[in-house]
This record gives sequence, C-alpha cells and structure tokens, in this order.
Amino acid sequence: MIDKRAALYTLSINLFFLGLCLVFGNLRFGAIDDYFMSGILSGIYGENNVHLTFVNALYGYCLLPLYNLFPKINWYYIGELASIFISLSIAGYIIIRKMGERWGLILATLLTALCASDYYLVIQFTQCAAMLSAVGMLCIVYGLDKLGTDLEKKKKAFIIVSIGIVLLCWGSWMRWQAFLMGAPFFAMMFLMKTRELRNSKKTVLGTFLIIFVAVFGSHLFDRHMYHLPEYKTYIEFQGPRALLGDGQNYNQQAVYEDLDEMGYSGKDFTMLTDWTFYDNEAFAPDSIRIITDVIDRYFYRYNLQSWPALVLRALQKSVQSPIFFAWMSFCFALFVLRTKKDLWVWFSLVMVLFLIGYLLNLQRLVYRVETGLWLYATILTIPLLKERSNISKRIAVTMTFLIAMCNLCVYAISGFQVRAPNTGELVSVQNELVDYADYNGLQAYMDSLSDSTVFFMKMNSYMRLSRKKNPPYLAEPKGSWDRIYSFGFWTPYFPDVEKSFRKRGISNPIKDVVLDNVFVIDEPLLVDFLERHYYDKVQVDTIRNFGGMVVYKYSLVTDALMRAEQ
Amino acid sequence: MKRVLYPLIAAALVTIAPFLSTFEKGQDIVHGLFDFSVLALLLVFLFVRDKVPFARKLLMAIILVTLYVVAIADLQNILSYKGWRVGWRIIIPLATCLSAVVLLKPVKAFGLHGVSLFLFILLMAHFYLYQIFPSQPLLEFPIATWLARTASNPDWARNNLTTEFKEKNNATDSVSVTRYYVDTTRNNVVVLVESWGIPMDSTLFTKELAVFEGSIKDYGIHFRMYSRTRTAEREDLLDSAWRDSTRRRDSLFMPNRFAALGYKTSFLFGGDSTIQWRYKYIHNIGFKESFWTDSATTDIVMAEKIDSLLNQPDSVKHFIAWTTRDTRFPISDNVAETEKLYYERLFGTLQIVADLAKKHPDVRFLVQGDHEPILSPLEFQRKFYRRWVPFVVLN
Repeated sequence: MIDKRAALYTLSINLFFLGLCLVFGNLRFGAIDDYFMSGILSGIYGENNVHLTFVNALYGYCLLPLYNLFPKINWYYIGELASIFISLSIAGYIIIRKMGERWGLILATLLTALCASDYYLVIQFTQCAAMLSAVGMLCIVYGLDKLGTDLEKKKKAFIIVSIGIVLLCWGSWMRWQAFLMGAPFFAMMFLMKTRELRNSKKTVLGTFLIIFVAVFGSHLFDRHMYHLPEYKTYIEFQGPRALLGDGQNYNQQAVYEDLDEMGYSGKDFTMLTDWTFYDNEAFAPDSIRIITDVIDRYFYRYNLQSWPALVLRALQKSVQSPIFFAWMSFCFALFVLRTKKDLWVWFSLVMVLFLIGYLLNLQRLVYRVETGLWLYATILTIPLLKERSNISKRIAVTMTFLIAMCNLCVYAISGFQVRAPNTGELVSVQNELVDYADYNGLQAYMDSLSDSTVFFMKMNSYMRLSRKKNPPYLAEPKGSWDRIYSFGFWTPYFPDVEKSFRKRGISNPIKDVVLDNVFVIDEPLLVDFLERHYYDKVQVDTIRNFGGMVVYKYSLVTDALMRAEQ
Repeated sequence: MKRVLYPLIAAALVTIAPFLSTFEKGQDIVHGLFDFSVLALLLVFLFVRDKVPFARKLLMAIILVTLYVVAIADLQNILSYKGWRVGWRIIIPLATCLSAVVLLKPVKAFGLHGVSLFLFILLMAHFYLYQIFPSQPLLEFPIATWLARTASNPDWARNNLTTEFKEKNNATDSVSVTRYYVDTTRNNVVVLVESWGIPMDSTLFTKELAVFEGSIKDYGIHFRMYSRTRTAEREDLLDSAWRDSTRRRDSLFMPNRFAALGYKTSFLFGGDSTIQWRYKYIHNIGFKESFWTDSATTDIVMAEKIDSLLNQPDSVKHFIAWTTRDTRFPISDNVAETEKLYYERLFGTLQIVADLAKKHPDVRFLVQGDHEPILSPLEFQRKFYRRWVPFVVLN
C-alpha cells in the first residue's frame, strides 16, 4: 500500500541529514523559552506541570507518560526533533510520489538539506509549529487531490488526509500563531485546486469541519487550562509583559516623559522595559495598566505608502535564508514542469510580502517567523508539482550524491555555525560558549547555602545560566530551579514559581531582596527603586564574583524604618 | 534570443536614459539597470498587441499611459536626489517610452507563462546578484521608491522648524537661557509656565506674546532636551558646569550664585512638595526657601504670594523661581475640549504674570515654557512644535 521505495528514499535522506546534525552540530534549543517549557514539564519547580504557556497543554499530556517511564530523557526536545523528522520525511515522500523517483529524489534532498540546519540545530517551538502545520496542510491537499482524481485509492487517500489532520493539530499545539500564519497559504492552495477538487466537495467540507473542530477545540481546551484561580495573575500579566519587554513599536521617550509628568517615575518604566518587573506591589498588573495605557497613545502608525520599499528591503534580506532558495527552486520547478500553475509563484510571493509587511508594522519581523512564512510558501508548492520527462538515473543519483556530499563538507567544517533565530545572521555557537563565568563555582556556592536561601537573577544572567545546564536531550532534574528565579522573563507569577518562594518566606520578589535569605545575582541597581517605593535607606554589598556572575546582598541600613510599616 | 534581448534593451533604454541625461560628475546615485515595472509593462504590452483579441487598442493605450507615468516617477526619483525640477525633462520619458514601443515592433510576444517566467528569473537574479554587487543593482523599483519618498510624516513639521521661523523668533539652541537675562543689580523672578509650547499656528503665538505688550524687553524661543517639568526646572537654573582637575563634573546653579551675592532665594509651587519628587532636588539646587501648599493652589494665589514677597519692606534682594500649575495636564481626552480649556487657562496664567510684571516695573521677569503640551491626545500634541518653548524677558 505504501510506496516502499519512496519511503526508503525519504527515510534515508532524512536520516542522513539528522545524522549530520547530530554528529557535527551543537545540540541546543534555539530559544530559552523551550528550555524553560521543557523544564516546567519535567518539573524543575518540583512537580511535572503541563501549563507550558506557549505550547498547548495537550502536548504536555501526551509526553507525561514518557516522562514517568524515563524521567532522565527530555521528551519535549525529542518530540520537537521527531516533529521535524516526521514532517520532512513525509514532505519528501510526497515529493517523490508526485514527481517520480528521479526528479523527486533531487528535490526532496534539496528541501531537507536546506531545512536541516535551521530546524534541527536551532530547534524552536515556533519553527516546529510552522513545519508541522505546513506539512499537515500538504498532506491534506495531496490526499484530497488524490481522492478527487483517483477514486480507486480511496483508503490510501483517507489515511494521508488523516495524517495531515494529525500533523496540523500537532502544529497548532506547538504554537497557535505560527499555525494561523499558514492559514492564508492553505486557503490560497484550495483556490488553485478548485478544478481538481470540484468532484469531492463533501469530503473537502467534511475535512474542513474536522480540522476546525480539532484545532479550535484543542486551542480552547488549552486556554481553559489557565482559568484556574492560581493562574489568574499570571495570565493577566502576559499582555503587559510582552508589550513592555518586547514592544518596540511605540515612542518610548514620549511615554517616559508623560509618566514623569504624571508623577510616576520614568525610571520605573525603564526598569520594566529592561525586563525587571517581578514586584507584585509597585508593578502589579493593575498598576502597570496606567503605564500600558500611556503606551497605547504612542504606538507608531506607519504610513502605508512607505510599505512597498520597506518590504522590498526585507525581501533583500530574506534572500540570504536557505528556505528562500528552496522556495525559488520549487517555483522554478513549477515553470520547468509546465504545470500551468505558475500563478502560485506570484500569489505566494505577494502573500509572504504582505505578511512580512504586517510583521514589520508590528516591528516583530524575526528570522524564525520569516522563515516560517517562506516554509509555508515552499511546502505548499509541492501539491502543484507533477511528473514530467524523466532525467537519466545516473544524473539523479549524481545530483543527490553531490548535494549530500556538499552538505557533509559544510557540516564537517562549520557545523557549529547556525542562523540566529532572531536576526538570521550566521553565528557560531562556539562564540556563545566563550563565557568565562564560573558556573560550577556559582552552582557549588548555591548548593552550599541552606535550602531556605533563594536567588533572584537578572534575566540575561538567568538565560545564560540555563545554557550551562544539561544538554537538551537530558531532562533537568526535578526541583533543580526551585531556588533560582528571574526578575524578568515570562516566569513571573507562574504558580509553581510563586509557591516555591512563598514557602521560603518571600512574598514580593523585588521588595524582599533585603531579607536575609535572599541573594541577588547580577542586579546591583535596585537601590534607587527600593528607596523610592519601600525603604528609607538600602545598601548593596558584593558577596562573591564568579567570573562575571556577581552575587549581591541587599540590606536595610540600620534604623531605617520600612515606610510600609509607618 | 531576439524575444528576450529586445524587451531588455527597451526597458534599459527607458531606465537608463533619464539617469544618463541628468548625470553629473561625482554624483552618487545607485540606480538599477532595468526598471522592473517598465519591463513588466512592455511584456504585457506585447502580449496584448499580439494575443488579445478584444479591446486591443484601448488596453494598449492604457498600458502606454501607465508606462509613461512609471517612467516619470523614475525620473522624479532621480531628480529629487539632486534637488532639480522636472521642467522640460518631462519629454525624456515620453521619447524613451515611444522608442521602446517602436523598438519592440518586430518582436514576437511571449505567452503569459513566458512573461511570468521571464520576470521571475530576472527578479531572482536581481536579489541574488544584489548580495554580491550592492552598488549596482540589476533592477529598479521606481514606484516603491516614489511612494516612500513622497510619504508624508505628520511629525516632520513639528520636529523641524523652518529657518525663517527660527530667524523671526530669535531661536536659540541653548537649553538654558535664564543665565543670559538675569540681572544681578535688582530683583529677579523666573517664571516657568506649565505646558507653554509654541503652537504651529503662528497667529496664536502672536496673540500669546501680545499679553505682555508694553513690558517686553526681549523674547525668543529655545530648545529643550526633554519635555519634562523636572528637566526644565533644573536645567534652566544652571549657571555653569565644568570638570575639576580630577575630571569630576561639578556645576553651579543660579540660586547658589545669587545667594552668594546676598539674595534671598525662594522657590514657589502651588502644590505638595512630593509632586514629581521636588522635595529631593529643589533644595539641592540651592533654594534656601521653598513655598508649597497642601492642596492644589491656583496661579492667582501664588502670584499674590510673590507680590507680597516683593513688597516686603526689608532691603534684601530677591531671586524667585515659580512653576505655574493652572495649565497642568491631563485636561481631557477630547481634543476640542482640551484645546478650549488649555488656551483659556494659558491666557489666564500669562495675564496674571503680565499683571504682576506691570505692578513691579523695577523687577526683572523671565517667563518661559517648561515644555510643549504632553500627556494629552496625540492630535492635540501635534499642534505644537516638539521640544521648543518660548521665553519672554520683561522689564
């Protein structure tokens, strides 16, 4: 039933590239977010928790049994690797089936080769979501197309469609927005295929209904998970956190001045935009609302007229990404194979540019999202490809072999180089490893203090520290971050975090840094804030310096009375 | 071959002719070789000419007109870099477009797929070559450039004062003007009018200045580094700043300078000292006396207070700084209402100051805005020059 040769080809291609990445690449998460999500799942605050925030809780539930069986393995990471492997293999299989063994082999190898580094070595939930959803959409279109034209292979087509639906759901779990981003491409593809699908209207509608129910159902389920009272503040804080931490599309200077004029300190605003905001009194979600309201007034409104030029400039940069080359090659194939569907080339280009323009407007155009857009455009080109005059077997094998060997050399020489998930620039992972901080010393120092001691870290140091922990395929031991928190990041107000410092007698992270059992790492600048809001006189002392990771102790100057108590 | 080369030559003709005809030695304008939209239009023109059975003449005419418009846009882009006017040059694109059409007469058209492939290859070639030779792009996108060039920015005018306006209003870039106008032989009153900006409507500004008619010695506008009351209160009283032998920064504020001359220095504000942390710095910059009120107090009351200070029978000379409060924002979320109330209050405060100055003709008054209106609807803020404030020297 399954085309064994095609399956064999695609599996060997994908195993080869996965092998290259595993052997020559540096295994790591592309984003720290993944590290902490997998940590929450494996229980770094004590217990396994499926509230992953950006990734659907259902993904967590699916992996929980595995965590219980083999707690040492980081199944979250294995799941992400598997998602890329499965997706690329299926895409390869469909390419080979559509174009025949020879052309198919070359294009499938090309696709995997161009995706491998960006997707295996900088693995990241947003990219996994785009990859899964794109291939899911491909399966659905391919399956329905088969159903419409080839009624004899009904069962097989149904299986392919079902696989597509599963992948699509999985994609939507990994990141909802990345799945939504692909919807316009999916819709466009159905427009291109109206003629082929006109005989199977009912099946198409049925499939849409199933997708709709499954995808939105699981999304609603996930949102519902956060309706628990203990998640209330956490969820309430997410909007302001994202706006203050990541938002760049407003006039910060004007906001600063307005706040100062209102009698709030502009310095507080600077702290907030610098990801130092875990103070549940001065920076409680409702207090922050005053600040976000001012920000609302100063959002940049871009002039539509300057869009085309901006988008062209962004396109200039896109060209440097490997996935763009894949898109271009597939588009050429559309022309060369005389598919008469070359309108797709322009449709998909315009759609990508439109979405790039939209993201530019939000100032949120980052490489991992941009590649996602090109990936949708590329993968959804596959259903339009077709079999045509075959090349000789020798050429096909030589080409495939050539691509494989070139990649082998590139990976062997520069396997440590990856494209940064934000900027897309080639960076060496090795550079990041050049970090002279003495993490082992810091860890030993932390362990030497009693269990009631807690450490609050500046966000950057917190993220750097996370890079020095276990490799991604090993799970963090339970409770390993139980005493270490950040003033920033997205973990503030997360119930597990709150619970673990509350049981150590802390009720407000920034305010309580003066308590005896609290140490602060890499943040010596809180005195001004503490004196402005809570205490008369605060001092800060350097306790230890671990090659740049500095441990500080804040304390009240004697006789200083807490203003709160007055 | 002819089918590919001729359209390329025709497009290059339309693209390069205006560039070359305006070329000057030493100019530095990056310009593509082929105009993408011109090439696309030419290919479509051929297609219509050879393969469309209906409305052929009309479509061809439409395409030709569009072609001409695009070529003009490109010409304008080039000229705008050089600051030249189009003038007679408008005939260059006309000539090139017509020659392009004539040139393409013997060429057979591509089908739509051919056009599509042609453009796609050229586009991809452009983007990849651009990575290697950024100084000579293959393609030019005149429409995008034209749109971006002519896009209007609502904030441009308020951020960039015209030279005429600056000259007419005695503009100075200096952030602190007080030190140039204080008089060490008599009493000085430095008034900081809350949210007094320079309206972009110049008749309103003239009206504001007219309030002080009769006592104006000098007036002008000056620049602020930040639009905050706190900044204005401090930086304007700066007398001098320097670095000592150890490179440490030090500064002298005017209240200290006047205190050394035997002046009584006072700061007044119609409100609590905790507002904007004044209690922290007013004393630091050298005021020996400060007058606060427990609740918000209107400017008329504070003016009476200054009046009584100046009327004190003792022979001590005074250096008084006062920040007004009636025009404090936020006023309203409604633009029209904000505008109405703001001017009502502003003219009120200015009148109070003018009256006070008339009452004490022997006292030097220096009146200035602390910043343009902020903390109000953006639409209202846009009616004022950003970061510029007026100053008026009285008596």
